[in-house]
Amino acid sequence: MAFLDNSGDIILDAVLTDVGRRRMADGNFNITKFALGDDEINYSQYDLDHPSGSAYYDLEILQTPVFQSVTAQNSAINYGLLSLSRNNLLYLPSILVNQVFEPACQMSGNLFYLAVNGETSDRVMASTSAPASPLGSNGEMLLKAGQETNTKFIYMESGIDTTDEIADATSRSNLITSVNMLDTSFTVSIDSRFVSSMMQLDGGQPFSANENGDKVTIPQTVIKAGSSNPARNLTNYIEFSIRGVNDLLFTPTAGTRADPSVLKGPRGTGMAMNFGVRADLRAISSNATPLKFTQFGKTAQTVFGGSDTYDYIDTTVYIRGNSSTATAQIPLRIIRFAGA
Amino acid sequence: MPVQNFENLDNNTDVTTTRTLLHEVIPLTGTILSGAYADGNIKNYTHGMFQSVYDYPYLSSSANHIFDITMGYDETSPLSSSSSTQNAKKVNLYNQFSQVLLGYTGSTTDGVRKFENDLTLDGIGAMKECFFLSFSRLLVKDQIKKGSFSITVGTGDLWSEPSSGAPWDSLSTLIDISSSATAGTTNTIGGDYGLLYVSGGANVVQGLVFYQAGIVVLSASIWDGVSQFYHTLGSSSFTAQQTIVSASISGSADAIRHRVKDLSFNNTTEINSKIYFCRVPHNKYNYSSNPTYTSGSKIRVKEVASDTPRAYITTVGLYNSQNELLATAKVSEPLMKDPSNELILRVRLDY
Repeated sequence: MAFLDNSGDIILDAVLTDVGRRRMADGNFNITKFALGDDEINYSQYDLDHPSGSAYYDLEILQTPVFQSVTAQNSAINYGLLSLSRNNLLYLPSILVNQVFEPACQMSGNLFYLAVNGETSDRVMASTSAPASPLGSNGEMLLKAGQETNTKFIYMESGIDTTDEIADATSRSNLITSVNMLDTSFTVSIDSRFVSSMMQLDGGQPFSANENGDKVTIPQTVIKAGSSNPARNLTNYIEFSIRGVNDLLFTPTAGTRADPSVLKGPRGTGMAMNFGVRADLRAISSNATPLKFTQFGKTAQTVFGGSDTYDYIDTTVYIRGNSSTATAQIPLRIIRFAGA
Repeated sequence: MPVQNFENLDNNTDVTTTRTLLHEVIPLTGTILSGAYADGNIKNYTHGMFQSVYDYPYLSSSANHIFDITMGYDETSPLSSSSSTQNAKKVNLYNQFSQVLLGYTGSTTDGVRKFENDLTLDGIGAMKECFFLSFSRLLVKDQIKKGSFSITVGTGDLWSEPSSGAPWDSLSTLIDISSSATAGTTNTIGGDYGLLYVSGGANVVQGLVFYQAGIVVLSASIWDGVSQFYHTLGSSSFTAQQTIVSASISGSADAIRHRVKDLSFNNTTEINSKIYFCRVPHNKYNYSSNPTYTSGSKIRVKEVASDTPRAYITTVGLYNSQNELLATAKVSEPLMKDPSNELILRVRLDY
């Protein structure tokens, strides 16, 4: 994929995508709308402190070379331009992982671990092989695949991550709710070769902590999420719609409690999730190693040191807030106990 | 993650179609046909019914097929005889070209039309002994541009290597000078055809060019009077008529290649385009969901809330109603979009 020649007039380089050609072959090629993207742009190059003044703030951005068009779906527009009615927004919501909540799964290194079966979770939590209980004796750093109880969950929060705005109900209304940035649902994309189902909060209870009280409520009742749809722009991926519940964790103004949120400013919604893995990955150690671990991961690895060996597959989970369009990526290691 | 902010296209005001004809000049020099590659670019077949010319030795993957040469005569030709070499094949080839390009007369005794040196197809001026050049679609594309075809052949009396100049001592140039997009051609079942006039001659027609089919028909009478039209190793020379009777089809093709000095035409590619006018209004697409757009949650391109938002466009995606990306277009440099400007991005898809 080469760059476009940007030495002369502005040109448009247009191609049909793979899906476009397929629809043309089907006789169903009908363009009805357009969208704009800016995937090549790195906005951190926008220099508000440029010594030559505001005319030079975007000099680096305007010099960004642009790639030629490609025909693959996932190489076109991953992050679209947004049409927001107000021009005076200074903040847009971010989605952050919360590892602070008591029921929240914590990362080990840079990864979340997902145990494919009970043998694996029991072994990891109770391992006497050095280091003992590498993911926590209570599984603090472990997701148990397909479990709705007796497991940790990945918690995420959507809101404004800035110390400039206090996390109270007024800011939440002004900066999130009134500008239609409240993520009441999230789209989670995950590789369907490994994951077949997801769990989400049942929606009955918000995250809550009053400004002047010490009580913090983090919901942890989950139910199975609805069915998935194929992801449009990622091969082998499927998408789940995961419920977001109100995140009413306000900055304490009295009392002694700590602020459990990872967002520095007003919070919009939160969510929790767990994953169910495909049946062909769940074989216990006395059975043959599932083929997918050989094809897509590694087998019989001493992941935590000691003598216990594990098979694992690393994959990435993509999360998007459906109102804010904020995105996040989570690295996930699907792990199976292989033998001692 | 797929985009979510779409702008609808109105079929009446935002979409239009255009048709454009593109022309390329196709010049072929005689050395390609004979000499440059010592016939390594000439492919003969065991069936012996035609000969293929490539632009490079054909065993190379870089070679492109440029045209085929063959010949034939009508069964009523005085040269048609059971004693003629490959007589049936020569008759069949003439009839094949004739039936595809001209069709049938309707007569039960003389069903297939004959090529004629005029545009009337009235049976007068028949060219019964012909050489055929069938050009590859790679060169012709949709059709040969009318009025652009020219071929120069040697009508010199002696046979020798073309580089020696002997076959080209005397030259005859055939051009479709009377043909144009609006006149000078006849429409048949094989498409439009025009007449190849001898340049400088008094309305002498020695061939036809079928524009859509990309086929040139040359009358053997161009070489009437040439004593050494063809010459084989260890044997005597042949006139054009003797060649038609006695030589194989591939031998006749060799003789023709030997005589072509140059050839050129303009091809035509018809491009049908659909143009989508993507109108970006002032109040839309001023923010971005690009992960680098914010630092923390603060928008990087603003210092204070009252600053105007801005985003930089690099890509236009065209979608169907199911939100499937059907086409994508890239601008050659980022376009700044803020609430003070409106853009119209003109995306053209060619078919």
